[in-house]
Amino acid sequence: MAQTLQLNKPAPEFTLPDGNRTKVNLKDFRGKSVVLAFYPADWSPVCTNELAIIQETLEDIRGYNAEVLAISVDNVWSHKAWAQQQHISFPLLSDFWPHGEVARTYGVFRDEDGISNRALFFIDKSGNLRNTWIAENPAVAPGINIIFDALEVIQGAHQTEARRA
Amino acid sequence: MLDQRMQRTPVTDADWCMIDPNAPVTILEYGDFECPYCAMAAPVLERIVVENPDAIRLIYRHFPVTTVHPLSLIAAEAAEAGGAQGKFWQMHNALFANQPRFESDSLRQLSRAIGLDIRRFDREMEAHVHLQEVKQDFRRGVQDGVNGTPTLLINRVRYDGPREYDAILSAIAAVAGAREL
Repeated sequence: MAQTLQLNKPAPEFTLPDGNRTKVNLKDFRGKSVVLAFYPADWSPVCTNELAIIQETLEDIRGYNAEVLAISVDNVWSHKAWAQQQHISFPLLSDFWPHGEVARTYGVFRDEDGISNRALFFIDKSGNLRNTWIAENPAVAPGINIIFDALEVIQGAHQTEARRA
Repeated sequence: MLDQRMQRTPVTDADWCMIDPNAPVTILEYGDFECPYCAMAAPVLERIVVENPDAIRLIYRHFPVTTVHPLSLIAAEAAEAGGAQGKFWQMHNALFANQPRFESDSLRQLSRAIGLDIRRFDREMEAHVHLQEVKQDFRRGVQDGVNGTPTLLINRVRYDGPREYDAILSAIAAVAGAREL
């Protein structure tokens, strides 16, 4: 994890354009959990597989009052074309310029090849970073259970809060 | 930091098993009949099992990724319909060999070619008799940490290496404690 990031502290804010050139702010998702999915590149086989499975389970993910935001350094036009071809309905955010700035902030930019590592950051409804998964090998996608395991923990905490209220 | 590469769901007698159900090494595959990588892996996995019938078994579960493979779900139902007539693996092989021609007429032709009772096949497909079995496999795949298709687990540990004969056999040997294969 990046040295500046701490669990249970506010996740770094950002604003990035999606494939429709609409600006998306992390803080707009307050009240929902956010699965922030960094991936190396549109069109690559492993990323295609990873995001297809997220799309396939998206309704279940949203059942946890959660939204998925995926981020790579590809430009908005690439995101738009790839999302159309792959039927991806969650936002693909373009960290193209300043190149990889958000990936650097989250500590997952790869200086050796100019792309983001594959990683998941889980942010709760208050905007706090609650859990992370960072690939040891970017050629291997995370098991989809990791997303559900993390959301279970976040929701469990919320249920506890609700009981206390 | 989260990570989980272990199979959580048990293999049961209801799973489709190639060759010896008592073989000490289990390869569990989560596959999608419309996935080209699964089609490439199918003959490799069959060869590994056929050449090591006392040592290795293959379990196949469905993981249709319909957003990119819209006919994968109906293909999985067709495989189950074949299984209901005792011909799961014949249908499995026929589907991968004929990928991606999975329109209704093509599936009927495949079912005829492997000798299924076509009226029963039609009836079960029309009523989606096997849909819940496919969905149950998918849910188990989510629990077991599928990260693409095909996902392979060797003795309950996810294998992320190349889907090639030598590489898979080496991984099996390592997991099985260098047992003679």
